[in-house]
Amino acid sequence: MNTLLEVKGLKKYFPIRAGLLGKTQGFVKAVDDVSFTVHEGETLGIVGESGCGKSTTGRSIIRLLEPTAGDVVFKGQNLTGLKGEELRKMRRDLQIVFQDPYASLNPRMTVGAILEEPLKIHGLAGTTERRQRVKDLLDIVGLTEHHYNRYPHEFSGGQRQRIGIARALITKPKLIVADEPVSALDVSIQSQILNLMKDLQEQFQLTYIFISHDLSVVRHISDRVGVMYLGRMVELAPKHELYDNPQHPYTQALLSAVPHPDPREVRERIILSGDVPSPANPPTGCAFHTRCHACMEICKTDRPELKQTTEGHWVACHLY
Amino acid sequence: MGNLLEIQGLKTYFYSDGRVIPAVDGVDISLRKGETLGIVGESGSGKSVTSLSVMRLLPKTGSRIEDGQILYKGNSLLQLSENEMRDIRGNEIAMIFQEPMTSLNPVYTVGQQLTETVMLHRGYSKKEAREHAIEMLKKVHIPRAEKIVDEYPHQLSGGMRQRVMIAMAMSCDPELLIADEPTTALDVTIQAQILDLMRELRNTQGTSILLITHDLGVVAEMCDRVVVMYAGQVVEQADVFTLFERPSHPYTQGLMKSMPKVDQDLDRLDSIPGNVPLPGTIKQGCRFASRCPFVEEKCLAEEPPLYTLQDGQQSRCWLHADAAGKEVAGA
Repeated sequence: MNTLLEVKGLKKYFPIRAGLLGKTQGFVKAVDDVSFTVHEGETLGIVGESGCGKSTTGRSIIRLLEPTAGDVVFKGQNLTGLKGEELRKMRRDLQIVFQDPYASLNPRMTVGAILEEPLKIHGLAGTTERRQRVKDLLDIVGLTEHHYNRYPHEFSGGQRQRIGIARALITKPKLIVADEPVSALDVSIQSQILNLMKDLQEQFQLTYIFISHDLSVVRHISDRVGVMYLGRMVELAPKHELYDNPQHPYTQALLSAVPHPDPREVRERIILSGDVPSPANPPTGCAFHTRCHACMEICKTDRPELKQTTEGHWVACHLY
Repeated sequence: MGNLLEIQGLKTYFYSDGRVIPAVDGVDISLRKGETLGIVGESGSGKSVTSLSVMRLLPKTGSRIEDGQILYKGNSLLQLSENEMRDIRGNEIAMIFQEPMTSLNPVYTVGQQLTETVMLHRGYSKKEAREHAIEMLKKVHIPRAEKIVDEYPHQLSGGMRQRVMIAMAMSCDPELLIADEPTTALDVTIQAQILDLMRELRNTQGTSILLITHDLGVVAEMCDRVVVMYAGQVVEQADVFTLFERPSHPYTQGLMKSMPKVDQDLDRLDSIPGNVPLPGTIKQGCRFASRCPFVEEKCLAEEPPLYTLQDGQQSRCWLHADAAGKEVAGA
């Protein structure tokens, strides 16, 4: 499988400013040295709880946020150095779908205008062709061409997310970063959108980075899954490996916390004590050591590196 | 076991721009003493409005309970004066909301908010109330309770705030706890902590719980019995084992099949076509008809009754007409 995207040592620090002159008092290390690769045609899921840096990672990759350090290599080209026209051209191939279908569509633009805008910006088609392409695409994502002149408020949440997906697809991208695309939707609508995304992937040979806090959804859609905790990737493995043989104590706890829709099932659950520490002041050594049941002395001082334990299964833990 | 709460034929309507929106449209629900009853449904199903109707916390303008009865220990809550209702609210029936940030007052300390209920309902002195507040915080496993009691909500994390909400709800030792999506805003590891806590309180205090949620996993784990709501109506009702083993309403079946599973691989999810209807938009026939795979002509013309099947399972679907027969057709 060809590597489409390679993320190396990605860091994104947000300065904490305080005082009258806004002096920098410290940094929130939202993403702290994350590396992974994405193969062509696959779906890489990224899971984690709020504040773990999964959305910041997604946004830094397509440079909606400027990374503090690290490289993002897409089809052999380093995106972090690109500027202006070059960056814009590259963005044709890298699109994003946002979580909130209510906030991410301009309420004053018709669906047609929303979907044609990327084509105009990238100069991809003439007026009549643009209109045709938009109408074709509306059909592909499960809407109809009658929706062309409607406004976003006339649509339900699920339909809006279809529009959001269509907007990402219109430039025929290679990679789509989907940031919690189904979290705001009802269960019965969520499955429609997940099925649509799978169909589109097949039809257009798309590669997805699928970011979500929902472990069941990520299992369903992904080929490989990465687990993040406090700005770091703690485990990365093919889906089956990760769900059937989780190795990092955090992944184990996370998986055991998911309520199963089976009332007869009795499970031993690992209940983590306390909350996620603040990313402005993360623990030394392993970021998880304050809540880990297997914590050793070394965990308090040395940060574990991501190591390969079996083929394709990477874990950042001193146990391995 | 007698019924602690009985909702009979409840209709709660909203009025806006001259339109009538029947958010809850003829709902019967009963909750036995000591039981945990789940109400499941998607947005617009009327599950939250049902709970707000019980607490009589609906907005004063633009909404009205049109019809029906809400009996708590056999007494009608709807007939009580506002003062009498205040004696029950927070004291005998307490509520936890979804958003712990918006339901705590940001300008009062945790302690001030925790003492208010016991001073009002129990006549505790300030000092007694404070001690009680600290004790309650310890009961919900908040570390450093003596310090947290003087902190403001914004200083706490989401999970901690929800613990404070639970401490507040439990502080008068209520008989009935209404929890409206208590863990929806929380991360999964924190959700596990909170569900654990709710189970513990239920087992030690014997509190009956009305748990409103959209998460079938939470239902399976917490509830004894389940009511499924769709578009303002109860479409299915059963004990939790029956519901998960043989869901009988096509909507419940669809809901279960459309969920991705954390321990199973499915190539494709079955999904329910169409959209969740806005309340009041379906005037005739079964409200689920337009999305139902088993739809027949009759479904479009006539609304099905709630049939009672075996083991007390109830389902609002014409599919049961032959099996159950007309004579056992329920309410």
